Amino acid sequence: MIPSLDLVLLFLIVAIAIAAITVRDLLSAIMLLCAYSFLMAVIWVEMHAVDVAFTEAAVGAGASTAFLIAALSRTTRWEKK
Amino acid sequence: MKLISLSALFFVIFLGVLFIYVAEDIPDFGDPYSAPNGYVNLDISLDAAELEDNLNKGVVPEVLTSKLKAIGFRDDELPLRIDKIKEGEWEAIIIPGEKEQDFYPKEQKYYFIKKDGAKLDVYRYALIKRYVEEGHHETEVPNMVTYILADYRGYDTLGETTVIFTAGVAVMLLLRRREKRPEASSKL
Amino acid sequence: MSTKNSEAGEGKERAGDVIVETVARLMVPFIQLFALYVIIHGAGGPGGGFQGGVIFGASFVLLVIAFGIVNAGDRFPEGANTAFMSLGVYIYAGVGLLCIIFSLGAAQFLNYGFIPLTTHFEENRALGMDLVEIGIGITVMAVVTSIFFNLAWKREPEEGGEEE
Repeated sequence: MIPSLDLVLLFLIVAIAIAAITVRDLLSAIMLLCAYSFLMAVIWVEMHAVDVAFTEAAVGAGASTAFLIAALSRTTRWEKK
Repeated sequence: MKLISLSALFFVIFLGVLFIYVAEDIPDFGDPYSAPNGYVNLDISLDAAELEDNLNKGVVPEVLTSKLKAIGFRDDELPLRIDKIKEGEWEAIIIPGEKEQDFYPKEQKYYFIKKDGAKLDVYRYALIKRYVEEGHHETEVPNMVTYILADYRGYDTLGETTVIFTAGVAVMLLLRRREKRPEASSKL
Repeated sequence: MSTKNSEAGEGKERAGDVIVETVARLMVPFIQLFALYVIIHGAGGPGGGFQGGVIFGASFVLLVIAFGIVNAGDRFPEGANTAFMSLGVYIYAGVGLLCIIFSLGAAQFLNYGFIPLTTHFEENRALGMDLVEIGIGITVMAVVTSIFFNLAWKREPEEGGEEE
């Protein structure tokens, strides 16, 4: 465990999460969530939890992004003001 | 919008400071000897001076047995033998009941005794200790996560699979199209 | 998702992209091979039924994205998919029941050592775990694919008014 690398990754994750809830373009929000999951997987690997990282990368960054885009295709892309 | 950005910046700084504050207390990952990974303290303290020789010889002290009984351990959980690990540390072996011997090994290390100054502290080995140390021999699977999830915690994983199955059925009930599919435009 | 707009209109004409289709057609077998590797290799390294199943389902998602849902739906029969969904859970619970059956009621549910696959108790447990992982993989693959197919399907605009 490298504390400085962990700190940088965690700051990035918090920044991405806040960006994902403030952005008005829903497609961008989905892509930000994808990046969030990927960085989370990096943190799991860095904590030596490789199985959890594998699951996070496959489910969080892969499948759930595809599900969210599919769900978005049934609504509009822009959030109403 | 400006308020949201400012509060977001504040939360980032706050969480960072919180993480630095908490991170100092986190034990090293994978350390099998840190307290929550290894032992449970039983709050029994014995006199070291008179019992140390007995423990080194492998005799179970009467005081230990009676105090364990007072806590509420069953008869087949009382120590039968003491093994010395190193100077000042011992472990007590039990033999589990007839019914459990199908699954558990015949002899099982159960209590951990440690000398602390003039006192002896008694600990119970945590269950995870046995999984980590014996799992590879008991299941012939090298990956710890897999043998815990699929073997020791098989019921959990069965339930998890059922939850996923239920999610699929629920989405199918809510969103499944009922009209006929149009003809495919070109072959794949 | 470039094919989505053209497909949503009437479902007849679909502007396919040659590069996307070719790359997807080449990639899908390798993704599926990797998914099988992850499922089987879950005992020896990182991986397991959940991860491998999700990767296997992702290959079908890639098919839908590249070829459009109408063509990919022909490729993947939905009735069989529904059967696969429950087949995985049946495999899991069936392996658990086999332990009771083979030991004539002496062993617990899911105590894999009593399935007589080999002569060693420990290796029986390892093999039983592999069977269980395959069951999980089948269920997860079918569920991921089914959820994506149901979510991504657009109703036809001319009959879109009808509900139920």
